[in-house]
This record gives sequence, structure tokens and C-alpha cells, in this order.
Amino acid sequence: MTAVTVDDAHGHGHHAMTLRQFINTYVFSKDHKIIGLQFLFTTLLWFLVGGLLALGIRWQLAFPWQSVPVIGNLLFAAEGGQMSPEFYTTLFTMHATVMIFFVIIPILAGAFGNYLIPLMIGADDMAFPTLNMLSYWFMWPAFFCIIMSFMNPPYGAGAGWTSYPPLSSVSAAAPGSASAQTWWLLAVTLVGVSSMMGSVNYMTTILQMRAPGLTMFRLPLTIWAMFITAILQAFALPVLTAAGFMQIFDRMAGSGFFVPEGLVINNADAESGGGQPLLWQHLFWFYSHPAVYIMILPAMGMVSDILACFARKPIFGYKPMVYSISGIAGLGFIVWGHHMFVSGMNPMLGLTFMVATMMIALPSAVKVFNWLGTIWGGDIKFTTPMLFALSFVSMFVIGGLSGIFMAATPVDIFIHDTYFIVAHFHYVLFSGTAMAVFGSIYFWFPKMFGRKMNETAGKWHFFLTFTFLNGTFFLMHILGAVGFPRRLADPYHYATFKHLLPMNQFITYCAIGMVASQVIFAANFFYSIFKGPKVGRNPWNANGLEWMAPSPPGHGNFDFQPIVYRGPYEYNSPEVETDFYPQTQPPPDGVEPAADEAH
Amino acid sequence: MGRLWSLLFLTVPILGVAIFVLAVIPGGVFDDHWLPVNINEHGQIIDDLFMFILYLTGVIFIATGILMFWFLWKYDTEKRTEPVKFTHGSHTIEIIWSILPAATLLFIAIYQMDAWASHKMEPPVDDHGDPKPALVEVTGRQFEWRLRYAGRDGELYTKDDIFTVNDLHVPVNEQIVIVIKSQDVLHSFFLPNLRIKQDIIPGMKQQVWFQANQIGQYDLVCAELCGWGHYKMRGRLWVDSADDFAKWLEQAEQEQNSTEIASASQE
Amino acid sequence: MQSMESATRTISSTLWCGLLLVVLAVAGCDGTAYFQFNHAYLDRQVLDTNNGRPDDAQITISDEQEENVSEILQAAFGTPDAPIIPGVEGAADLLDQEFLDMAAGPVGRREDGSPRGLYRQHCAHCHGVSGDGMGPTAEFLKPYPRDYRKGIFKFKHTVLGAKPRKEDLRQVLMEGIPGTAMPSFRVYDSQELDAIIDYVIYLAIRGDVERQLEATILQKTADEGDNPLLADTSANASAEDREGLLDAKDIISDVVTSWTEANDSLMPVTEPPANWQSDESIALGREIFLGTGGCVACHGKTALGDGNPDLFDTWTEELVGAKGQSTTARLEFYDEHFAGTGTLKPRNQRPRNLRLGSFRGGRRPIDIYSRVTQGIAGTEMPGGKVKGDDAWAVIAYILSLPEEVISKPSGDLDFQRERN
Repeated sequence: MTAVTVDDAHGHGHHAMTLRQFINTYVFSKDHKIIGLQFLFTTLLWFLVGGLLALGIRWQLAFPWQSVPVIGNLLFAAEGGQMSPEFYTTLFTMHATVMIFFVIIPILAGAFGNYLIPLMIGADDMAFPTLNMLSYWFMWPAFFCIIMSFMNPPYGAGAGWTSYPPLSSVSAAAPGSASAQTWWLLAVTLVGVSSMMGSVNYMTTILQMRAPGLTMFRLPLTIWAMFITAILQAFALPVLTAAGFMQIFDRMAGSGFFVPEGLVINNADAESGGGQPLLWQHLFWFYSHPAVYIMILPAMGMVSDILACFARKPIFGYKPMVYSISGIAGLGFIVWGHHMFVSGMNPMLGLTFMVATMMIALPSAVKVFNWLGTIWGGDIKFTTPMLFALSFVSMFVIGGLSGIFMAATPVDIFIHDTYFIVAHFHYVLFSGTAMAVFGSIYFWFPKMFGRKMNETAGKWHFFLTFTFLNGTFFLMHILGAVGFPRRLADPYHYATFKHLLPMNQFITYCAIGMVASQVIFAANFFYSIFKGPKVGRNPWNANGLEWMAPSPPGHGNFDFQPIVYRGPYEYNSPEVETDFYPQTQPPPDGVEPAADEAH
Repeated sequence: MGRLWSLLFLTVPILGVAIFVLAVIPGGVFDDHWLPVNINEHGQIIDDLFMFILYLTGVIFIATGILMFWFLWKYDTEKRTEPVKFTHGSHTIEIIWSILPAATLLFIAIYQMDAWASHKMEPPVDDHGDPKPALVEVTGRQFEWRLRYAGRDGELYTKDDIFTVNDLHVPVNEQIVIVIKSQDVLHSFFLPNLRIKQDIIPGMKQQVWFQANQIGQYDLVCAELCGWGHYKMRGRLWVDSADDFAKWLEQAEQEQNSTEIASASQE
Repeated sequence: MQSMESATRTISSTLWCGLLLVVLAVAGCDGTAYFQFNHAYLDRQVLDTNNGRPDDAQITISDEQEENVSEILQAAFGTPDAPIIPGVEGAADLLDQEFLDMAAGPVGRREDGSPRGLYRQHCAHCHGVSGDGMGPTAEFLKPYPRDYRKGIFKFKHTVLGAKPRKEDLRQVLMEGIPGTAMPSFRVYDSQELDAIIDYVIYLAIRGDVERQLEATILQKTADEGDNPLLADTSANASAEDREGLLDAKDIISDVVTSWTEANDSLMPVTEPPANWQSDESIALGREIFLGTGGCVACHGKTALGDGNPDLFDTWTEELVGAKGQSTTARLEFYDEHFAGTGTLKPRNQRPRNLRLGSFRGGRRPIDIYSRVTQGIAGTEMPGGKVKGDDAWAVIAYILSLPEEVISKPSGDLDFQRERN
């Protein structure tokens, strides 16, 4: 491993670089930190795209058939700027696709996983740096494919991110099911390949490259979460990839995996048949249910680290936390049918999946209790990262509890495909994961860039986002209780839902506020990269290994060989005077080294 | 500052509960923003289960919200008075708060199995124990509901079947069985006021059943994305008295066999 | 303090970004729809006219002339959001301004609580703001939505050349057109349907007048040369200059009259003989179908609609090459002259497969009577070949076809009952 000099932050000091050197350092870099940052910047850009698509949806629901700002005149000028109904289907399809596959999964695994894993385990890089670099660059063909999907009318795929056949498999079935759908399938498949490359890397690195003394039960929960998430990716993704190929073959090669015989959709010519639409649903959800845990577990891990740091206390129940993460992941493989309770599958399965789904609430509940136990009796510092981490806990409670309604199969008959579901997953994914992501950015920004983000702006960002997101998503539970369905371009011509327009308008205003508040974050982020106040290695006085490396770490990460003596949560330990006790700090004389596990 | 943030987190359980209370109680700003009226004999159990889970989760929501607020308030770095409680956890507590939720969740799961079975697995039978014949076959297609009534002979798929679109008439206070199918893509037969929802899979014939106990007009909604016109798939459920239903059926039959140009508008 | 300073900078850069976003958002906020000029018809007329002319006498229609036609139309008909009933006799009886106002404009409510924008809400995305059948959704539909601008409607109970009555249009709204993307609108308020019907007729009249004005201006150009205008529509035009508008008034008047006369043009209906649905009657119907009725030429001997695959309907005839050539050759004409001009790629009009039990114009015997005796306007389905009791026999045969054993799909696939 190459030793690094402290000031040599970007590896090449002040020497002028040739073009080739520049490309190898910053473009096709094999350094996990650069790759992590590449993921971070690209996913934040897609976050903006996904957010704008959401605003399109909210616009239609608040001002149905009114002229849409900006794109109304660009795409629908003759109709006075009002969007077409098929455009609405592409809005919600692409919003979900972008957010799930191009934002949340890559930002958790690709950005944070990549950046933090070697640093937190005391390694100089990933086990397979070239594979790592490829996992980022495989995203670009995926970007190309999804952008191609946006190109021709109706400007996106239109069968929902769930892409249920026959709507998705038969080109004539929906405006968005022609070439846009094929591009969509290719994009999602390529993202899957990228994820699988990453997951192999993470598992190997975590198992094989930990610093001396760093046993599995001394790992930070972030790493445990990343590790288990990587296992989830590895086992679940192949099923989605296979299903994706099956659908591509159905569309282009005349196979009939998912399309039954004899359908005539939109007077299109007959398709080959003999297939079963339910098969897609099973295959899709077999991946996509573990996917939702892929989208929350790393966030949970990072939140644990942030909470412990700013409560200045060890994590309450470290081992139960680890077991809970594993429990969520394991159970996550046997609950996929709860997305299909009313799908027409054998109702007997409704009973079995109900039991499993109810049980998966248990490890999540245990985690929430342990987080509360962590802040109990602590020395709580309300920094920006801490605020986001706390809000994760608070909001995850809402998201998790609303899940119990859906797990109850008879209740799900009513709330399936309504805004109750939309409320649930936006709480866990936005109010949960995205808030954790924001908090993590504020927390690890000093490590990434050697400068701190502005605290005041950060707190404003938090306050506004927190307020607006609750205004946006909480009321969706109420809409769902009325039975307000998802994916309807104009729900108001139903007598049952006509009177829900004012509530929808309020939600839209809050959504606009929420997206607008992110401008503060963007400004803060970019400004701070160049002009933020410089900091040293450990501005938060945290315990983890990553805080022992320079800020930002040079190539090779550590300028000393890390040796680990304890777990990462020994804040306010009686063994030392300070209220933090880094993992690499040898115990004072006369004190026995800690047992091999953080208990 | 820390105290302000604690109070912000306190607003979560307060406002959260307030919004639900306002929604459940009739009148006020959230009037009619709750479960729509249920007119299905077998639908009440779903509403009861919904409310039961609401109360249960409500209690947990309030408890965790208040606990969180309390800890943030009390242990704020600027205001706290006690030394930090350096502990790695408590085995006993972990057991308690694992077993209790597990038992509760399992109880909820098993408690509901009956309701599910009666809704999806046990179609109604007539006096002889034979399955009740279907009154109407509803075919979802892009983007309307094509209906085929059993007609005078009471049997579907015979020559006297009556074809209509979007207006689903059923008699009140009778066990009704409906066959649902799709002509093209996935649709979903959703009757909010009957608490009925069943995705319709092309290539498969499925059944739903209910007993409506109130006369009136209700919405039929498609609840599975079926294309650009998914929102347009509005049907009307007419729950008629037995007489009105018979009258309507006769009228529809006459209309269908009409050999003259009508001049008045059909309704 | 440094952090205050950087906070201020962050906040001010935030405010600038925010301002920029607001400006961008508001910039697109214009909700006015506009009629699109009927280029396809004019271009085809110019092509055909120039075909018979020597190279040095080729005609083009100038932008000014197109403007002129548009201005005349605007003066007479208004805009999509503010429609005017043209000031000719009979128009005010045919159309109701209240209804037009309800159907026109952006979607919403008017001050008195009545709806507004019904056409844009329910129809425009398929049928187009101008009624040209080329809204954003149209290209994805099979068959394409109706283009109202020829004033021809397929499903009605009037004689072949006549316009439909309002009741006929209402029947289409109530029943939908099964087998197509035109859904049933019966769940909507009756008055709203009336408003839409009036607006559709308004669009049909306007479209028809537009075509005739285009033909007139083309004729004038061919006769007089030099791109003459039809009328001076400017504010200080003289009486003579405005004469052109009078031509338009004649055209409009004729079109309106054809609509008002629809009620007097009901098709003659003979009473069906007793037992017209008996087996003997069906057998007679079959004989006629296979023989003197001439049905087999298009519908095929098996009634599967496979008799003639090369037919085009009247709406697409204007875009494809002349009759008598193969479909491929006719489509090549389209590719050469009209591809990429915003028109929809023409498709053949397939004769109906009568074994499916899906009747687009309605499945009542009276509806089929209309098809059989009057044909279907705008298509190659002719009328007048079968009359009186023979017609009823043929109708009995047609209604019996879907019930035949060979018409029903095999095995458990009887869910396919209604297709196409």
C-alpha cells in the first residue's frame, strides 16, 4: 500500500497533470473515495430530476388539466399547456424509477457504501478497485437508456415503476409501452449489474480487509448495514435481472412468459401467449421487496452512528441491533406476497404472507426502541446531522406503523393502491432514508472535502424540509383512508373523491415548498466545497476509524497502520477523561483491553 | 436552541393525533375525509379491523413520540444535569420489548384470518349448498366496464344475456356474486363503499361477492394501472330495490332488442 | 464572524436561485389553446391541382393567404376558448352559446358554478383542440380518433349522405364505441354531454368551412394567379373588400343547414316481419350475405373480415396515393408528401370481423339495420344493397354469427368474447 503524505490531499500535490493523469485520477479513478463522490454528485443530480417529476404529478393533482408551468408550452402548446393523460402515467412511472434506481439505491450503496466502507474498517481501498470503478461507469449506459426513454412522446415509460404485464409487455397496450419501455427495461437491468458489482466488492472488503483488532462485533452499524445490504443485493437482484430479460424477450423475441393467449389490446396484432401475468409480479416483488430493505438498512446504520456520536453515548443494544438488521434482511425474503394480496394469486398465500409481514415489524420496532435507548441519558448535541438522524427515528415510526395496516390482509383490500400506501412508502423512503442521507452528508462532508457545511443554513434546511415533508405526506394517510386511488390523472370526477381537491392542493403547496427548500442545501453544499471553513481530521470528536484519517484522506487513506482496540461507540467511557474514545486509541496503562466484542 | 428542537419533535405526535382525530370525527375542517360509508354486510369487519389497528398504532405512536420528546428535552447538552448514562444496553429490556410486540403482531395476524377467508375464499352458497350463480359478468377493458347480465333465464352465457356498459345494477339485501374478467390488461374491480377490491388478470376468471344493504348510487373505480385512461374507468354501482332492479332489467332487455329509432335520450 | 458571513452568502445565493426558479416557472403559465390550420387538406389539393399543370404554372399558397383564411374563420367562429356561433340563419337554433361556453376553455368552473372546459377535459387529448383527431394521445390509438373536420360521422340513423342527429351523437357518448378507445361517457351529467355535443358540432362545422375556404382560395389562385386574398379582414376594410366574407357566409350557411336538416333525414325503417329471428330467417340472411348482398367481397366468405385488406376510409384517402394501386404504393405516396408533417400514419380500414360479437355502432337490431341499409358514412361499407325484409333476415344472420360454435374460442378461453 502506498503511504500517503498528509498535505497531498488529492494525491498529486501541485504538479501540473497531463490529460491522461487527470482522467485516471478523477474520471476513471479506482480510488473508492473518488468513485463514492462520483456516485454522490450524479445521484444528487438525479434527485433533482426525480423531484421535478414529482412536482409534475402534484401539479396535476392540485390543478387538474391546468396549464403546466414550463413544460406545458414546450410539449402541449396547442392544448393550452394542459398535460395529456399518458404524460401523467409517464410522470409517476419515471418519478419512481428515477428515485428508486438512480437516487436512493446508488446514493446509499454507491456513494456512502463506497466512500465509508474502507475508511471505517481501516482499509486502504476496496478489495476490487477496478470492479468498483466499473460499477460506477456501468451507471452511465443506464443513464443513457433512461434518458432515451424520456425522448419521444409520451416522454417516458408509462406502465408504472412496477411495470406489470400485459400493460408493459405489449407495445400497443399503453403509449409508454413502446420503445420507451424497452429503454426503461435496459436501464433498470444495467443498474442491477452495477449494483451487483458493488455488492460483491462490499461483501469481500468487509469480510477480508478489516484492520487488525477489528472483529465483526466491533464494526460500526453502518458497516453491518452495508454488509447485509450487499448480501440482499446479491441474492435478490438476479431475480429482477432475469425477469427483466424475460420481459425484453416477450416484447422483442415473441416469447410469452407473461402474456396469456388471445388478448387483443388496442386492436394490436395477436401476441404469442401461454404466459401468466402473475409470474412477473412474483419475480418483480421477490427482488423489490428486499430492495426496500436495501433502501433503508444503510440509512439505519448511518443514523445509529450519528445518534451515538451526538448523544455521546454507546448504542443501546448493539448486538440486538445487528441481529435486527439481519432479521429484517432475512424476513425480507419471505414477505414479497404482501404487495400482491389482491392480485389474484391463491388467497391461501394471503394468510401466510400476512404472518411473515407482521413479524417483520418486530426487528424494526426493536431498532426504534434501541435508538430511543441510545438518546436516553445522553449528552445531546443538536447539530444538523443529529437533527436529521432524530427525524429519521421519528418519521420511521410513522412509516413503520402505517405498514401494519397493510400487513393486515383484509384491511389491505381497501387500502391497496390508494394513497395510504403512497404515504407509507414516502415516509420510510423520504422522511426516513432521504433525511438520513441528508444527515449523513452533513456528517461526513468534513471528511470528504476537508471543510464543514454551514450549520445555520443546515438547520434552516432541516426545519423547512421537516415541516414541508410532513405537510406533504402525512395528509396522504387521510386521503388513503377515503380510498383515494393512486395513479389517477383525474380522481375528481368520482363522487367519492370529488371533495378531496383542497387537501390535494395543500399537499402540492407543501411539496413545492419542500423542493424549494432543497435550494438551501444545494447552495450550502456547493459553496462549502470551495469556501467552507476548513477542519481537521475529527471535527465531531467521533470514535470511528474514518475520523482518524486526514480530511480528506489521500490515496491509501491512512497515514498510519490502524489497530483497533474496541467498538466505535465508546462515548463518555469511564476509561478516559474525554467524552470520546476512538477505536484506534490504545487503552490507558493499567486498563484491560476491551473484550473482543462491543457489548 | 435544543429545547426548541425538542418541541418541534413534540409536534409530531400532537399534530399526528390531532389530524386523525379531526378526520374521524364528523364535521369540522376534515368533514367527510374518512372511510366512505360502508354498505356491504361483510364490509364492517374491515372497518373494525382498520380502527383497531389505528388505536393500537396510535398508542405506540404517542408513546414513542412523547418518550423521544422527553429524552431530547431532558438530556439536551445545554440543560442536562445528570451524568451521562454509560450503558451498552439491557438484556432484560431487549427480551421484553421483543416478546411483547411479537405476541401482539402474531395476535393481530391470526385474528384477521377469518375476515380474509370470508372475503376471498368462501363464496356464498344457496339453500342447497351449491355455489350461488353469478348475476353479472363484468369485463374490464381499456377504458370502461362492459357488463353482461344473466338475463331472464338467470344463467350467464346464454342467448338472452343483456349487454350494457358502466352502469352496474344490483338488487339490495341479496347475496350477489359477480364474475370479473379482463379483455386486455390488468384492471382492478374496486367498490369503495363495499370494501371490495380484486385485481382482474387477463386469462383468469375471478369472482367477488357481497350483500349491499343500502339503496343508492356508488362509485366503481379501477384500481390497477391499465394505461392512459386508467382514471377514466369510472363505473356506477346502482343498488336498487328488488322492484326497481327487475324494472331496469326489463327495460334494458327491451332496449337491447329495439327495432325502432328512439328519439328520447337513453338513460 | 466567519460562519455568519458564510451563512449570509449561502442565504443570498439561495434567494437568487429561488428567484430564478420562480421566473422560469411563471414563464410557462399561458393556458390558451389555439386552432391548428388544416395543412394536410390544403397541401393535398395543391398537389392534385399542380399535377394537371405545366411546370411553369405551379401554384403555391402563401402564408398570407393561410392567415387570411384563419382570420375569416376567427371572425366567424372565434377561438377554442371563446367560441362564437356564426351569424347565419339557423345556427343559433342549432347551437346553444351556453353549451359552447361550458365546453370551451381551460378546465374549471365558471362563476355560477357550472363547469367549463369539458371538451378539453374529456375529448381534446384524443380528438385534438381543432377536432382534427390528432391530439397527443391519438398516435397511440388503434383505430385513430375521429377527425370531425369533414363533418362525416359513421354511426347514425339518418340516410347515408346526411349529418347525424344530436341523438345519434349522444348515443355514441352513452354507449361508447366498443372495440375502440372511445369509452362510454354515460356516467357524466346529462347537461355536460349536451354541451359537448354542441361543441363537437361546432368544431365539425368550423372544420368543414375551413376546408371549403381552402378550396375556394385555391380555386381563386388557380384562376386569377398572384395569391389573391379572399377578404380584407382588417378593421378599416371597405365594403367591397369585405365581400370575401360574404362567400364565407354562404359556405357557413350551407353547412349549418345540412346539420339542421339531419332531423328530417331519418332513414326509412320497415317493420321487421314476425319471426324475423327464426332459423329460416337466419338461413335466408345467410344466403343473401353470401350472394346478392355483396358482403363477401369485403367481409369474406367466413365473415371474418378477410375479404379485402386494401381499403382506406375517407379520412385517410386524402393522405395516400390514388385508388387502384396497392396499399404499399399508396402508403409510399404518404411517406413522400406527408410523413413528418404532424399527420398520423394512415392504416387500412379492415372490414369488420362479424363473428366477434363486438359491434362498434351498437348491437341493437336497429343499429345494425342502419349499417346494413344505409352503409357506414366515410367508409367503404355501402348502403342500399339490401332492403326491407331481406335486411332483417341479414340482421338476424349477423346477430347469430357470434353464437355459432365455430365463433367461440376453444377451451376455457371464453373470456375473449368481445374483441376488435
